[in-house]
Amino acid sequence: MITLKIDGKEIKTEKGKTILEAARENGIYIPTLCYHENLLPIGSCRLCIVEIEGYEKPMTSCTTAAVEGISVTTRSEKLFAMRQEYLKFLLINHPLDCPICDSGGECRLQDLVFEHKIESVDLTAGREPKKAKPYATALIRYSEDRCVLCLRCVHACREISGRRVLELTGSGIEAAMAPKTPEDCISCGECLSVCPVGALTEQESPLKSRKWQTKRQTTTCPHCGFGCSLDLDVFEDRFVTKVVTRPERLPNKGSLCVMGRFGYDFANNEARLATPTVRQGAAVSEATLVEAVEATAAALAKLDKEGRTIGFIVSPRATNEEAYMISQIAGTFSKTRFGTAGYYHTGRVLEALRRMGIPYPYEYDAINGCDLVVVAGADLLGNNHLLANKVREAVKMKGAKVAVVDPSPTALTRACDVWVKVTPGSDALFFNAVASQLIADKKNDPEAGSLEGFPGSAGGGKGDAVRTGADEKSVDKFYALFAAASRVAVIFGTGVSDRTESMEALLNLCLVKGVQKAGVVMPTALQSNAVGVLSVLPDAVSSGDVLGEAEGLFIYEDDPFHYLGGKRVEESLKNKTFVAVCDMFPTGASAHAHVVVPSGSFAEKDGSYVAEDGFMRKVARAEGGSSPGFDFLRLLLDRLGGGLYRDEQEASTVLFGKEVLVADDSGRAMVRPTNGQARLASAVRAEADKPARPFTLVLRNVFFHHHLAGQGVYSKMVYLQNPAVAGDRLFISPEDAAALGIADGGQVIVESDHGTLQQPVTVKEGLGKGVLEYRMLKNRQDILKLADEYGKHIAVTVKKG
Amino acid sequence: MADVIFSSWQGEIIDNRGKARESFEAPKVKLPGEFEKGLPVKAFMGWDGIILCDESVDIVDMSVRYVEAVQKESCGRCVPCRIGSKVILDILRGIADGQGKKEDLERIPAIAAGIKDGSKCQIGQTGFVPLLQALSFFGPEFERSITEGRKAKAGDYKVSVTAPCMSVCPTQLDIPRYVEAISEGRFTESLVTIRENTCLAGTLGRVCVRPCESNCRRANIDEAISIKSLKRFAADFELEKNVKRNVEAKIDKNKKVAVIGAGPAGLSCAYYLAQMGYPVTVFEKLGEPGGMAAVGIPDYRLPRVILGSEGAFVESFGVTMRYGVTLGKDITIDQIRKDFDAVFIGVGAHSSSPMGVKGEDMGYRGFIPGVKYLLDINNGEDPYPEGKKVVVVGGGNVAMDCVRSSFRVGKPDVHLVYRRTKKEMPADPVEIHEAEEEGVEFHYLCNPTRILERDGKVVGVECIRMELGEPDASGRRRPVPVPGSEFVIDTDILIPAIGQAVDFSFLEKREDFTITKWNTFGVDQETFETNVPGVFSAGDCETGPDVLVRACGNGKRAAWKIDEYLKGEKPKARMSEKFVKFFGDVKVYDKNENVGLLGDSARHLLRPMAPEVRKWTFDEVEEGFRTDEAIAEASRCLRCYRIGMIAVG
Repeated sequence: MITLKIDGKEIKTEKGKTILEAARENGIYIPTLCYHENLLPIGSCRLCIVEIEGYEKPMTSCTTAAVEGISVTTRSEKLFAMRQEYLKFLLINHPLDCPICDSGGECRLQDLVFEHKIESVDLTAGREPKKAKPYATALIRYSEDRCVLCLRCVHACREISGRRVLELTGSGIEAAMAPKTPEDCISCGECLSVCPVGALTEQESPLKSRKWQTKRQTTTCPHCGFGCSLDLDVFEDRFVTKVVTRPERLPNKGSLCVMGRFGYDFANNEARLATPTVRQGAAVSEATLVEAVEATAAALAKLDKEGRTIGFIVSPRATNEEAYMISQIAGTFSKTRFGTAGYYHTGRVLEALRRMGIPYPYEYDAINGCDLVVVAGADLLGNNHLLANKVREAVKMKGAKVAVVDPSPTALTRACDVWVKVTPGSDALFFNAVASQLIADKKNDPEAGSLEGFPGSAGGGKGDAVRTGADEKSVDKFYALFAAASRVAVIFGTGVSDRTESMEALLNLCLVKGVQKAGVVMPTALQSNAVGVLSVLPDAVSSGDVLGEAEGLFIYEDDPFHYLGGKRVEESLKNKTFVAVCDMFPTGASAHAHVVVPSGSFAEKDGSYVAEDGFMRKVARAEGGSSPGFDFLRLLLDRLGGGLYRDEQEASTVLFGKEVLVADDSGRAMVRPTNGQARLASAVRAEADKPARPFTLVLRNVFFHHHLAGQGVYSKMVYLQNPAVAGDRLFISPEDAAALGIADGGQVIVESDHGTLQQPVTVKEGLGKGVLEYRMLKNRQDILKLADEYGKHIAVTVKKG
Repeated sequence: MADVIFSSWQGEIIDNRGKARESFEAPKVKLPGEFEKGLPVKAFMGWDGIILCDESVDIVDMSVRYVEAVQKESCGRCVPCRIGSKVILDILRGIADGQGKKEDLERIPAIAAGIKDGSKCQIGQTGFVPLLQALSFFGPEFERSITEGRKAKAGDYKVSVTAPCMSVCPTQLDIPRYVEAISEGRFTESLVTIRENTCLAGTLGRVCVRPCESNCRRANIDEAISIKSLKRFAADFELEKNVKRNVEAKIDKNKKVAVIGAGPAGLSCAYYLAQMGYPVTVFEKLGEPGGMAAVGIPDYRLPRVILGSEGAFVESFGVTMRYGVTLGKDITIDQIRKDFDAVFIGVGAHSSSPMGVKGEDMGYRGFIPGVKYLLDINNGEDPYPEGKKVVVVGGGNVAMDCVRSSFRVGKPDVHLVYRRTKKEMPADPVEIHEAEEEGVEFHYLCNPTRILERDGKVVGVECIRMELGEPDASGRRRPVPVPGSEFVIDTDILIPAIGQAVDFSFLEKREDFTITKWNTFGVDQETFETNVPGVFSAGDCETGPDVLVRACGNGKRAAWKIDEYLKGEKPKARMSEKFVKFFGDVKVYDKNENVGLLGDSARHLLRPMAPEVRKWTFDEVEEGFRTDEAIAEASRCLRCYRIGMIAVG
């Protein structure tokens, strides 16, 4: 700790902090415009200038370190005059847009001008008139004439989201911020969130509101498993007009991805189901909620009496409270099965973590202490963009190294230190090879040797790894980085969890290295409450299995057509005795349902999620009224004799009471932790696949988390056209394209054991040989024809179409 | 040198206006009389003030044009300079157009004060110095413009931007720009900037003598920026992250150029010629690029993969590299002159200078010239396996390379003999320090007198103690032997490393070429052309053994001159070359300048391996900066861009 004086007051702060940080920590206000706590100091506005005794020139407190013993003055006539001058400079060409500007009332320039008592500006500086130009994304409007060139957006795009789209161009008074590579934009809205004025404004909502016209409610994003905190602006209790974020809110510190930032408007969509419907034979008629409850209860009770199995398919985005209600509803029947789409990845991950005693929950911030981050089988661009942000933060602040293990280019392969391009599904071979080399070189965690399952004899060593198709140089580099690292963060996703052996081999490697002690194991989750639903319904299996086994189905906010081969789902649903669907919009499943009841959007829900880190996130009702989905569940439960719950709060209380969620030492709610008795999985001698077909098709889910993505319910589909996201496209490597004589954009015929598909293919630099990649977004059905059930890696043959 | 009518340069006010020429006071600053032939220096405006030599210069016009230059250079990264300089420029243009108002003369200083004190870099901080001084000392001119509505008389000006570090870089790297790019996380762009002025970023980032760092204004408040290591960071980033280089070779000219030597001079020359579209063939004796940098500098200082990568980089511009071709043996100058339209010779200086010690030309086993010693080691061989004890004579980097490499080939007992003291040693201080840490025993103020041998093998060296006398031509005190102070150091390897010389044996007809008395190629200092038309030379074989970065800079300039020659143009110094000279005369860095800012951080240094570990291996001694370190170090840069404007008409 060091001591210094600010405005005569003695202040203590940590060595390495800037004067501005020290002042803010101690409640001393210094005016700023370009400073942002999540960005490196920019120093463009010059408003934070201070004087330090003994030094002639004023210095910007945001860039100057606090040094022991200095005496700082933050306010003086001279400093005030200088700040005033700079603000006047900004006002010279700033348009008089306040009455129509979105930022009116929440604008730093307004606040600073007011604070500095500027009533007139008698300076002029000729500047070329600004013309309207397209921005990097159609979701954001760029009013260049309002820009004060604080450069926060340029820094944010570079440092936080890593896309590097924006740059400073020109010189002098004509200098301007401009998108340099708009094709790299992923519409994450980072620039929008940091803009202190109205230069960047949201262009999504048809209804615009001012801050004092709406109620702002903090809640959690319903999309992927990261669990970002965001605020919904709600107009008249029923219309979400925009999403805002605050830099201090954890875990996302004000950042979001395109789904979080702009993916709210489905809540206001006109196509939302409003009335329950009941089908009798071929006739579908509207019904009241009570009638729908009655029809459902009667049908399910009949099935139960006949001794049939009733299947409950629960969306991994349903809240814990909704899942709990469903478990209570199921509890009134004798033969039931739970299924969720969250099982395919998160369910199997949680099983493995528990089986092997890997510490869980985990802290995202544990990445910050790591000198190496491994990202295996996860493209953090399609889902969990915020995790990639955290990796970038570790690189920026601590110089961490990044290793990617993946068959195709991902968000982080642009900026990683090594990229090991394994063939799909051969990860176990790779991880086993690295682990055995560590042991042979005695570079493993010394305590790992006493863990149950630690291999008695060494395996083949890293030389084996080339059988995965990865080149020797990258394997060597990966090994060198991994062996030398003192703290490793291991992030893994569906590419690894797809096969149990891959997951176990990776977790074995983590235990051999001691990652669970010095480091962190971080599995992703694709949906906002996959972990929660699986904790409330611990017996849940995959929805595909339940589709097969059950004879009556209760489907809550899920659409199996979204992720399973359509033919199978169709046949399955057609033959069910009874299907009830509760959802916001008509879906593929609801077309086969006997009862359809409207459900609520996350803006209407109250309750909780458990994010991929295992910690709870609060979902708070932002719109007025109640959640129609929860109403349906509680009325149904009551009708089935399970008792009447008044609201979600009651369900929450019981959940906590049953210790599905517990509190950690600091009182944060989380799932019950794993027992921490690490044990290795028995070493399966993994071999590289000898597949029946020459290509492996890798299915990547882009924004998988919302089954409604394919439905056109997001009113401005423009973000889905961002080239960098590349949804609904098939990719092939340059070598394979050349070998097959296929041009970029040419047609191919792809054939699997289950189906055939003809469609155009794009050549993608960096894709591994023998690998085809399809990024599923809206158009999923066609490609899912090639899958038997849930597909991740599908063996296919490819020929020119 | 012209008579100075007025000068406010470096705080010294010399006002000779109204005085008779004979009673002119001369300022301390020595302004050159001519910018180039036929263009006199009539006035100079710069970051430190005004120098006026000719009364025909319209101070009002010059002031406007200077502030125009400030606006043009203003990068946009801070509010005061970006907008404020336009505010002032608009007012000034009004005055120069005869439309000025009386209150303008009070407004300008008031506005400029805030810009000067609050701007982020020296453009804004110094950009108004000449204007404010003009208003102070030439107020009546401005007043007349206003009251008479007189339009300013347009003059002819040459403008250039410099910085203290840039002004002393032998290859004119735009240092503030590439450092700033690193501080903003734009590492690839940083490397592009560096490569505008050299092809050897990774090499220079490891072994450059870094005159820039001794001219770094940051040192005036705490410590110089680690410019060299930042350059290394930018180069290594490309290699470590496998960033794709976007190089498109565009060879579209017919005249062919031969480059002899793939050392720093040759590679630089080839690099620039290829970018100008010339088909270039490089003939190199060794099997790899780098010249002395490859076989003279050991891998623990400069790994060969770096040089290999940079050689490949030059090659990717369409340069043909022919390794293993020795000039004078496999091919002659005459043959080359027949097949090529111009020749560049950059063969370096690879011979060892004699010590002047009895026995050194007797061919004793164990007596190995430093250059040869390092060549063998760099080829992976122990130059003298039976020898275990080493004495190296010399105080330069080659001597350091010899002693430190000795450990690394398994010779644990290593001594260095130098005739002056540590203070006078020309070697890089970091090298000296690391050699000390590794356990070299230094014998200062000693000189060898006689080699002791038995059976044709070296067994020892007799040395005599020295003391420092009067300074010699280099300014260092001349060492003088102390009579009767001889003593013997036992050794089986004796290595002279006191200097290198050019080996001209490759010339069939040496008399064709002018060779200077220092045994180097004689060339026209403006064009690098030898006395033989179409044959050019730069690098160590032209300057004598010199620093690597100078070879880079001169190889580049030679490429420009070869281009002019091949186009049949009269040789003409480029604007940048003229300004390099000019700024050298005016001096950009002032080590006594009171910068006035708090020095809040020490410089970041690279982390060397522990001496006991590193002395036995050829692995690179120091690890490069991590990303966060590079950004933090680069953020310390004060961006001391300064504008100089010369009135020539």
